This record gives sequence, structure tokens and C-alpha cells, in this order.
Amino acid sequence: MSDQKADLLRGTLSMLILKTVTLEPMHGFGIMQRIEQITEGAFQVRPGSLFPTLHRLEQEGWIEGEWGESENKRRAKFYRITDEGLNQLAVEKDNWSRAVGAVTRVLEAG
Amino acid sequence: MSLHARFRSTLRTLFGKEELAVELDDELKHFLDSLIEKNMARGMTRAEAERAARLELGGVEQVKEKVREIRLGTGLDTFGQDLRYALRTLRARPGFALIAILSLALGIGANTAIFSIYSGILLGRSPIEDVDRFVEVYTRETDTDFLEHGLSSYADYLDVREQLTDVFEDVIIYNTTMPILERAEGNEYLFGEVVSANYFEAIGIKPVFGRIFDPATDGLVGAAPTVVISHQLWESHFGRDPGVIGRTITLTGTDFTVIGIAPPEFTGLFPMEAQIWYPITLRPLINPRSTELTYRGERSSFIKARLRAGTTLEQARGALAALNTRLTETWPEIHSDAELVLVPSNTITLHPELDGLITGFTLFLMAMVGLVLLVACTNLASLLLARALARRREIGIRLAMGAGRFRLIRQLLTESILLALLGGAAGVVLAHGLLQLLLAVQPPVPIHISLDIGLDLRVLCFSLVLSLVTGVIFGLLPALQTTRPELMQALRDEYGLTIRRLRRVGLRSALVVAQVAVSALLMVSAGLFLRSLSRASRVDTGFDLRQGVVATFILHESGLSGTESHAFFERLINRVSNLPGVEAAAVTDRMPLGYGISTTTIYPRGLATEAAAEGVSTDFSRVTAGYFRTMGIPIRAGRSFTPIDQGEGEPVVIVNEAFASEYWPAGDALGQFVRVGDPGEEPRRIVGITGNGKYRSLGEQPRPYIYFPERSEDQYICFLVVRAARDGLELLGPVREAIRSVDRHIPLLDLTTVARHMELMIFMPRLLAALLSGLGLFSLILGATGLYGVIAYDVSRRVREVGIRMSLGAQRVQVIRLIIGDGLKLVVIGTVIGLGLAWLASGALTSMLIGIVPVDPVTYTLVAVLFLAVTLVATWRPARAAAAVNPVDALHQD
Repeated sequence: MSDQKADLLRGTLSMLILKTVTLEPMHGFGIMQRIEQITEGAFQVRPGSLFPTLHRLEQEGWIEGEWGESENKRRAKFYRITDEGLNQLAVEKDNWSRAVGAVTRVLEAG
Repeated sequence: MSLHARFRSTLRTLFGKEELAVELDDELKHFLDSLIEKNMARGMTRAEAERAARLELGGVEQVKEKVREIRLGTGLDTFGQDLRYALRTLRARPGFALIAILSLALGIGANTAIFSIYSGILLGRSPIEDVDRFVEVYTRETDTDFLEHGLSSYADYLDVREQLTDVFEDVIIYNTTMPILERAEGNEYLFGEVVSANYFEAIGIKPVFGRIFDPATDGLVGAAPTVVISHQLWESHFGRDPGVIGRTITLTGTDFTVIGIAPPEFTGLFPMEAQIWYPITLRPLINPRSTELTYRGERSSFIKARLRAGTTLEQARGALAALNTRLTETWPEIHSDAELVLVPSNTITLHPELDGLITGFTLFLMAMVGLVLLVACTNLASLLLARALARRREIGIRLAMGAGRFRLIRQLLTESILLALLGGAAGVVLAHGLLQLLLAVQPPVPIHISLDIGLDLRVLCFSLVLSLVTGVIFGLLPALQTTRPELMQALRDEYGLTIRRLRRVGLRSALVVAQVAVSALLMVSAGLFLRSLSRASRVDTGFDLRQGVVATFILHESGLSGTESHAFFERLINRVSNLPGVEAAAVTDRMPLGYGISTTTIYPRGLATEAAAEGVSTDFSRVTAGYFRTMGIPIRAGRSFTPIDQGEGEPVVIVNEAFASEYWPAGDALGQFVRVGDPGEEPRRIVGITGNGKYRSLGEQPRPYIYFPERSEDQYICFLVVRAARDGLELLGPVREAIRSVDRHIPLLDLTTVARHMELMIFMPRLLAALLSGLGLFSLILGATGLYGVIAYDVSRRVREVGIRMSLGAQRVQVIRLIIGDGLKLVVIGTVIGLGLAWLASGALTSMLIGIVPVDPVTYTLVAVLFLAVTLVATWRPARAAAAVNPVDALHQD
């Protein structure tokens, strides 16, 4: 079943996570669901990449974790974006659109 | 990224580890629970939902491991973990750890010791302040005795100083001096430098007391003689009394005023420690017959010059070329075969050729100890490999649990580097001991040589780097091998491993072959030196002097003229010959196999050969009449020298058989004439022919040699040789007394027994042989343990195979033969490679060997036999163990 779903492009996961937690603090499961929802299941986020990435972003200081109670009344770690994270997101967005633009131009030129 | 956040996070990672682990557990548990709820909401049963959730999460431990790797990305904490793990594994097998650390300590220790000698001699800091701007002026002599970097003359110095002012701002000259310090307590030789008056100022040396030379006042003819003394002399002879400034000391009959004391760290520009400095222009006061200042062809001094700011070496060379042209035009007979050349001072330490010799020698030693370290490395690599393969199940499990391969490699490397560092630390201690030992056996030359050899920062850095490199080398290979992904497969399929294992044994076998090869190379070198040493004691030196004493004098700055020294020798020989137990005594200016070499150009007369026309550079010495009897040198034809030969008699010489047969192959040398030096000189008749001997080294081929009778020439160094019928030790006191009673003004430089003197001659070969055999033996032991390890391990892995063979009817003998044969194969390959390498390297050894050719069949055979014997010993136990296998048990194993 996972064969039909595209794996996330390298490096895009951190951008998507940053973007996702801009709206509101979210826990890991929520982030995964939100990304799959928005991409209509086109991208599958694997826990094996999600958690390492979350912790890396936290270590970089782009997101902050905070323990709270989730919607199902459980203890969960909620991540929120920091100011530095917002800057980083802007940088990554910029890089992304430039890359997409470039690739598109190459494809259309053919 | 914020440094602050990174710092806080790292702190938390390091110190809040428990808390983090719990948090990560909670976080993942929440994720899992949410996933299960979602699955159940889709209509799965609880059990189905849980299974699906776990499947999706894909291994909680794996995720955790990844997160930990990210979090501990700074590496600090992982390192701590690896270190603890490494320490734990080492403690678990203290025997292995001890062997590893010991063999590394020996390897690294030997390397450190050799390197510190090299560093002490050749990498020492120059005492010259801005050495980078200095160049040395040598003379390139292209006549019979070709010299690439010969010394230069005082006249050359004046020319360079006065004619090259455009390119040089300071030019200094310096040379050695050895005057006699006259004191009430007894006279003694001082070693020092004669220098140009600008010497101290030019090289930037400031006195601790008093002043340095002033070119405007010091060294001028007619001015009061002045001297600067070393800090050590000030301490030993003047009790650190600052009042010594302005006092006079007497050097060979001349009073010198002490004007300054050099700083303690400055001992002159020669490796021998200078005690005094006086202006070179005052040399005639000490040695009135010296032609140093007047004869342009007397090339005996060192010249250094400082380039003007902005002047390049090329510009200076250009200016020097012009000077060379002028010199050749003005002084054709002196300068036609000699040109001045420049060498930057910062590229040389002692002298270009000498530096090369020392570098070559230390490189040779470094290569030897480097090979030993390599053997130790390969040995450890194969031990670690064996261990790692034994641990492959554990490693496989950890890989399966989600440990990264990189992480595992790092862990294994931490272990080997820890071992190497421990070995390195022990090695540095060992090197310290080795150095003390080496410096203690320094030949007792009377002049103190300043060798700054010790474990300084540079040496310690060398050892540290060496240890790290060592650790990586012997750790990486096993680490890469054992963490190969197919080991995961191995975990599941133990049986399938059998085939793959064979390949891995191949790597270990290669290590053994390498080890055996290197030890064979070392053993051959050691064997050659040992054999050459045993030859050294049997080699025919051409003289037969067993008991007696040798006294050494330096006479050229003693104030004695040639006639006076002749009279001194006569009285000395008379006096000493009358001592009880003395058979004969004589004086010579060169001892066979001594340190100095003197040659002169000889023209055999009446021959139509090139030698007769061009002259041949020949080793010579000047001796008194009783020399041949004293030394026990046989006269084969003709006669010995007589006192008349030393006086006003006809000029005569005595040559050795090699000389006679070289120029008069027909055997009619006796009565022929030779000429020495200028065409105007009176030819000298050959009145005697001696047996051949060894003159420069024990290993040399027969060399033509010529003896002149001592005839009141000016003397430089001379030796009084006393032949005795009793032990030399008993004669030391009487001879010392006799010398003092003849002339209490002339101090003895050295007085030693003949036996001790002979020991010094074979000092270097002996030291080398001891060193190399130690290294060779050590690497042999390493090689043998390595071999034993490989065979024993291999046997333990082949129990099943042996069981099958035996159940199919193989006999114990056949099994033993099989196992020993496997070991033998490795050793034969290794030995052949090693002997081949030794054969290739043998050229380098030729000059150091005595009486044997480097490709010495005896040594090669002995080494080969030794290795076969070692193989049998190393494989015997494993082979017996294999043969003792009970086939039924073996087949039930695993």
C-alpha cells in the first residue's frame, strides 16, 4: 500500500513540519496526520523519520517542545515554532520555490 | 541556529539523560496510542489495531536509537558511552588488553625514542635570532678530493665581506679552537670558537654580564686580547662571580681579558659546547704558526652572511658568481677548482652532507622501528578481528536492534584508539627510559657535545599522532569487517556462515603473511648485524695490540713548535718505555679505526699510469720509529723507521701491501719512489712494506696506506701508544705521572686502556646490532603469537569439518598434518616475501656491515629455519587440539 504513496523528498520534511506547527502547537501524531491530510495522502510521513526530525529541529532551536494534555486526554509533547524557526521556514520556502521554478523551467523548455 | 539553544540542548542531553529517555518513551507511547485509537475508529479490533500500529511505527527501539543519534549528534555523549563500553570490554579481557598495550608501548616507545634523537639533532632551533635571513658560504672543490660543501678560508671571508656589501649586511666567520687554559690547579684544554668581532651582534646574542666584542676595538692587532666565556665555564671555574669581568685568564701563554659572559642557552654554533670565544685575528697569539689568516688556500672556517632586507637568494648568488669570476682571475692556482656557493642557513643544521648522513641514518632506524610498529598493528588487528568475529552475534543483534553501522564502527574504533593511547602513554615512558639508556652509552669523547635530546612538546605530539594513527589503522579494518551488513544474514543463518567465513579467514591470513614478512625482514637485518658483530671481534685489523694504554694530546694550540713537539715525543717515549711492564711506546697522529681520516695526494714515480700523472688521494699517518713494533704491525719486506728517518736522513716512506701491489703489481715496490704534493718536492724512497690493515672501518676492503716518519712537523692531534705486558688499567696511573713529569704544561685530552679504545671502534656496529636484534626478536614474538592466534582460531571454527573428516576415516596424524600445513603455507609465503624485501633493502646495509656481504646465505638460511621452527611451535597446540576432537561431539555442535 505504501508503494503508491510518494516518500517525502529529502529535506522537505523539516519544512513541512515547520509550516505545520506555525498554525498551532501540535504533537507528533497530529503533525503526521495534518501533513497526510493536507497532501491528501500523497505523502506518507514515517515515524522513523518524523521523530528524529522533530528532535533535530528542537535541537536547532527552531521548534520548542512542551508537555500538555492532548484532545484524547493523554499526556503529549506539543511542538511550537520559535522566532528562529519562522526565519528558517522563510529561508526554506524561498529555496523551495526557487528549486521548483528552476525544475519547472527545465521541464517546460523541453 | 542559536548557539544558546544548542548549548542548552547539549547540556540537557548530557546531564538530563534519564529524563530525556522517559520523555521519549512517553512521546512515542502517545503516538502509538493515538495510532491504535485511529485504527480502532476505522473498525479494527483492539488486537488488530495494536498490531497494525506497531507495524507502522516500525520498531520503537529503532526510532529511539535514531532520535538518540540525532540528539547526541554533538558526539560528546556517544563518545562517553563508547569510552565506558570500551573500558568495560578491555577490563573483561585484561590479558588481551595487557598484551596489546605492551606491544604498542614497545612499538610507539621505540619510534618516539628514535624520533626524539632525530628531532634533537636536526630539528633543534638555531641559536641565531633571524636564521631565515642567513646563508652559509661554502667552497665547492672540484679537484682530486671532490667536496660539494667544503669549508672556506679567511681570505674568502674578507672578500665576501668587503665586495658583496650590496647583498649582505653582516658576514661572520667562525672556526674551532682548543687552547690550553693555564691554572694553578693544573692546565686543561678549553674548547671554543675563534670568531669575527661582529659575530655576537650579527646573530643576536646578548651577554648576561659584561659586553660582547666590538669590531672597533676588539681583535685589532696590538690591542689587549679579549675573550667572552660561556655561562657553564663561568659556573664551573669562576663560581658565578660577576667580578670575573675585567680579570685575565691565560690561554696557551697569552693573557686574555674576560669582557663578557654568554647567556646559558648559547654554546656556540658547533655541536660541541664552546667554553670561550676570542677574535679570529688573535689566533696567531695562541698558534704563531697558523696560516689561517694568511694563506688563501687554507679552507677551514665556516662563513655565514645575513641577506640585506629585500635581497633575494638569487640576487646574492648572482653577486657571488661575479666574485667567483674575479677570484679565479686573480688567484688561478687557488680558485680554479674551487668556487664559493650559498646555502640558506635554515635548511641545514650542522652541515649539508653531515645532515644528510644523520637523516639517512635516523630514517633507517625509523624504518626499522616503524616496521616493528607495523607488526604490532597487524598483530592487534588480527587479534581484534578474531574477537570481533567471536562477537558477531552480539554485533548482529545490535545491528538488528537499529544500531547504526557508523555508530558500531565508531564504538569499535574507540576501543582500539583507547588501546593505542594507553600503549602510547606507556610508550612515552618507555622512550624516556630508552633515551636515558642511549645517552648513557654515548662514547666518552672528552669534549662535551650539546645534544638537546628529550621528550619535548614536538616529540609528544609525534607520539600522540602516532598512537591515534595506529589505533585507527588496526581498529578500522576489523570494525569494517564485522559490521558488514550481511552479518544480519549470518545471524539468521549460522550454517551459511561457514562458506563466507573462509573468506574472512583469508583476510586474517593476509595479516599473518604480512607480519611474518616484516619480522623476517627485521630478523635478517638483525642477523646480518649480529653476524657482522661476531666477525668484528675476529676480523684481522692488521695490528696486534692487546694490552696497554693510549694517551691523546692536542698540540696545535699548545704553544709547542714542531721541533719542540719532536723533543717532547722523544722524552715521553723514553720515560714511558722505562716503566715496568712496558714493552714499547710510540707516537702517531692517527690511530687506525679512529674518528679522524687524513688523506694526502701521492704520485708514484716512474710509472706510465694515470695515478702517477694525476696523483692519488691516499690515507696516511705520521709515526715515530717504534710505531710498528708498538702496534704489532708486521713488516713484510724492507725495514721499519729508524730515529735517523725522523732526523736529517733521506726522505723515506713505508707503504702497506695494498699500496705496493696497486702501483707495482710485479712486486718490486721496495726501493721505488713516491712524491707527495708539489712537483718541487724531493721524492721519498719506499723502505718498507707492512701487512694490510683496517684503517677507517672494520668492514672496509684492503685500502692503500702510506706512513711517513715523524719529522718535527707541526702537530695537530697525536696519540701516545704504549704496548704493555700487563693490564692497561694498572698502567694508567704510572703513565699519567710519567707524562706530567715530562711536561706539566701539556694537558692530557684523554687517557684510556687499549681495550677500551678498541671497544669504541666497534661501538656503532655493536649498538646497531643490539638495537636490531632486540627489534627483530620482538617482532618474531609478535609474529609467532599472531600465527598461533590465527591457527588456533581457525581450528576452533573448523571443529565440525575436522569431525566430518575423522568420521570419514581421517587419522589423527592426517589432521595434525592438515592444520600444521595450513600454518606452514602462510609462513612460507611470508618468509619468502620478507627475505625478498631484505634482499632488496640489503644495499642500504652494505656500508654498515663488517666482513660479510649483505646477501649472506647463512643469515638467510638461519632466518628461514627459525621461522619454520616457530611455525611448528605455534601450530602444534592447535593441531593437537584438532586431532583430539571427538567426531560425534563435533557433529553435534551448534
